[in-house]
Amino acid sequence: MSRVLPADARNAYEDLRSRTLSRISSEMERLIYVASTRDYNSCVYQHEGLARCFGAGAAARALEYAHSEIFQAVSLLSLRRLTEELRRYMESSRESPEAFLNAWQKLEPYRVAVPLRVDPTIAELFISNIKIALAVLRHRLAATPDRPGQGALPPPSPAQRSPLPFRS
Amino acid sequence: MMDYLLVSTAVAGTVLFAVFFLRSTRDAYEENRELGTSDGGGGDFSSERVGRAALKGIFSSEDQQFISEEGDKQVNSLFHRERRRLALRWIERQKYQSSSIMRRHREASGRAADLQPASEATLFLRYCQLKLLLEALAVSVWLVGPEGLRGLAERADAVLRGIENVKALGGSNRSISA
Repeated sequence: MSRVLPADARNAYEDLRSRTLSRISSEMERLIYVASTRDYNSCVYQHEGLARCFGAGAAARALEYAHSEIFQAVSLLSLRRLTEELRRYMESSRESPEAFLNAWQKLEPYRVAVPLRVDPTIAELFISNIKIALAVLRHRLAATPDRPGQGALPPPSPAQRSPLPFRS
Repeated sequence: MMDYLLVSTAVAGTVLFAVFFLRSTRDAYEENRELGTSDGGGGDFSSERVGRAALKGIFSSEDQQFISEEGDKQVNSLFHRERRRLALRWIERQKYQSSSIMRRHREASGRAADLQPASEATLFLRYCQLKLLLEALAVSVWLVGPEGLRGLAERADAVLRGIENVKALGGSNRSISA
């Protein structure tokens, strides 16, 4: 951790970590949860409970800090671990694997999980690794034998054979 | 005849190297200008430790092994394409970062009254070494992919840190932040 949080934000961060983040089982879920507390338009982090206890500013700083920390941890996971994390996240989403993979490969919602202030190499590594992990999961799904009537999944887009339809 | 072939090969190799050098330098400049970064980017969390960890991720053989075990041609091809792209961008950032350090150093040196020739020579030699290492690395990544080149990448990274250290030791009173 290269930044030092002010005392109030530090307390908010400790509270967030012990009461909320510790109850989330996987790194990927933690990342998506914290990223979802950021307003898409202003990039300001918001959390009512934390803001009530520690003030809106401290809560926002704590969330931003946690976001960067978790993002870094996920980005530096090996592909094997990341694929496992993503598989667990996919299973916890309650969507069918096909629907999940189609949405994630087409819309690339994981891009909103990138913090605003981050080393560009780390951000690129994260996005690239998620793309590869998704391709691995799609391959495994297609190869699963107990899927009656469903051999290899159809490609997401008829125009392209790549498992990543919109980006090279 | 053999001599002629050898000379032709050497000339062709040199020309290819020069073209690659010029193209990658231009790409690095343009990319960083588009990004609007002064030193290859980085935010509050872009510490040296994180940078080194990212380097390990990009040049990782462990990931390659995992992908090989999965045994899918399409995934394998995606993996190699992505890793090559990431590695080349990392190299471009390193180049841009080293050029930025040297540019700021030149600007500061122009105003300095206490230039130390030994430090300046060391800095210049390390800069040349770094440029050569990065070009060799870029050509190698371009030809064979980044897997197995982690040692060379770490060496280039260490030389860049060395440049920053020489700058810090030799020019503390004309600070040039990296």
